[in-house]
Amino acid sequence: MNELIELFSFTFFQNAFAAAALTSIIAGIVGTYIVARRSVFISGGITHSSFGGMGIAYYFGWSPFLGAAVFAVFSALGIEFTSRKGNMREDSAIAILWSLGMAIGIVFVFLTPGYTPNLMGFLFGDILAVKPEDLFYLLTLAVTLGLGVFFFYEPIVYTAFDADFCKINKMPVQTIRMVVSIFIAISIVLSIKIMGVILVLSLFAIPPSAVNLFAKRFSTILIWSIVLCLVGSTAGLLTAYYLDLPSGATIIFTLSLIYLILWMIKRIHIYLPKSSLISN
Amino acid sequence: MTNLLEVTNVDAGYDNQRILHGVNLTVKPLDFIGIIGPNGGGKTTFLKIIIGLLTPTNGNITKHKDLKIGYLPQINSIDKQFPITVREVVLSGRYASSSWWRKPSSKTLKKCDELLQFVGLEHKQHAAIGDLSGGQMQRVFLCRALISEPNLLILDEPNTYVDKAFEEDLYKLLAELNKTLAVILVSHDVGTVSSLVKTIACVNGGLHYHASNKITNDLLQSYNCPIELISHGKVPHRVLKDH
Repeated sequence: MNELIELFSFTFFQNAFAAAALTSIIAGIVGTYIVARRSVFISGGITHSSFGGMGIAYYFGWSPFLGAAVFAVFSALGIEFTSRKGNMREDSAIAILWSLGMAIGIVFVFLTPGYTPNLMGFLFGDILAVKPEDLFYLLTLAVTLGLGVFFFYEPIVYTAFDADFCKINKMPVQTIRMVVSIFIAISIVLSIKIMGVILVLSLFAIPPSAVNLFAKRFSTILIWSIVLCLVGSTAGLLTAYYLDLPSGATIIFTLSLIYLILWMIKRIHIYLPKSSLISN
Repeated sequence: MTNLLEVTNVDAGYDNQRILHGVNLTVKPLDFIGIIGPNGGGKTTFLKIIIGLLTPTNGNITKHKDLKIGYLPQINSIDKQFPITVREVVLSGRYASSSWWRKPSSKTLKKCDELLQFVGLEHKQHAAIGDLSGGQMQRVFLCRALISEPNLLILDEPNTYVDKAFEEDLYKLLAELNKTLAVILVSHDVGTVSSLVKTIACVNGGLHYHASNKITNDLLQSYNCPIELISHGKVPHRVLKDH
């Protein structure tokens, strides 16, 4: 216990914990939306394409996360646009975007003269290297998303559920979806710092999928996803520290384990007669 | 009486495929128009034109400034696993008469309660939409179409999933609603259509309007509308001409 208190006295660990908490809020909100709208794969495309922007930014000496953000926002809007036109097979388009982004990123990182940037950090995240300005960005985004969902909950959920019906009622469906897409892209990019390009998607997808086993209401899933994400990432972070494992990967293991346990609880609930659960 | 909606000489289709050509239809208040036609004949395309989801490649749609459409889609177009409650679905219909950023008014909430009670689903209002049967889901979407108090109700194949017990109620309800609003009903079930509606439009590439609800095989043939006349009594049977 003392060791735990001592751990929280380190600035780097305080930062890491704050980053995990803020990212949990972001991932819970955005993850619930993308899981409900079945656009997890689309978000995967956005995530990996952003690596291209990162590579280019590195080569020219700009902020890698700015480069990633530009790439992510444009891919998100591009996907939203092409899926609306409906003249391209969406899964193929996403796959191209996915691997093209990674290819561009790798080539530019390779071309960058001098020292090779920490590729592993980009790909798998490095929560222990979080700086105060990262926390500021995460906090701003978390607050914006929270307020956005609070004030525009209904339009966001309804346009995700039945866009055609909303269009008939003259709701600004495209605008709402575009704005949401931009926020998804920004959320992904800021979370890459913590989880890396390859792992970030699970942080968004696992908690809502796990909560969805029991809850069927968007707002309920959203709130419990944040809680689950927070529990999973804190536990993962501590485990990673004590066992000296990579933090991002350990967090994903923890979340997957939670999903598995919840899934088993649900199975048991279905197969056991109600009385046996009560008597035990 | 002014017209709610005028469709004038409309062509429509997707990409290079023309599905409808030279379509005309006028919808007046308190009309009850049944739309029939073979699969692939353009019934759904025609509806999309009316509700504004598809722009005609040619021709005009004139809508009355007070036109308020309540729309009941085919429920197989809905993601049934989406995490949304029955009550939320019904309330999502209110934007035809409310700005998109507004919270529901107390009048709307009351109307929502009344509608759910009316279709017998008030006890299911906090259930997820995916936990309902097809018939129950259809009723929820009917409530969603009605909550904004439309003056034109458009129903796309409403009897596909509705259980027989509710089907009777649905038809009674439509007749009742038709006292104050216009109804357009798309159905493959010609027998039902002819007993309910006032006029009939057969959509098969073009649109043939028939200012009565009497359908005969000769009529359908002359309109090039290849549908079988099937009526649902106690035993499904084909309706034959007098002989």
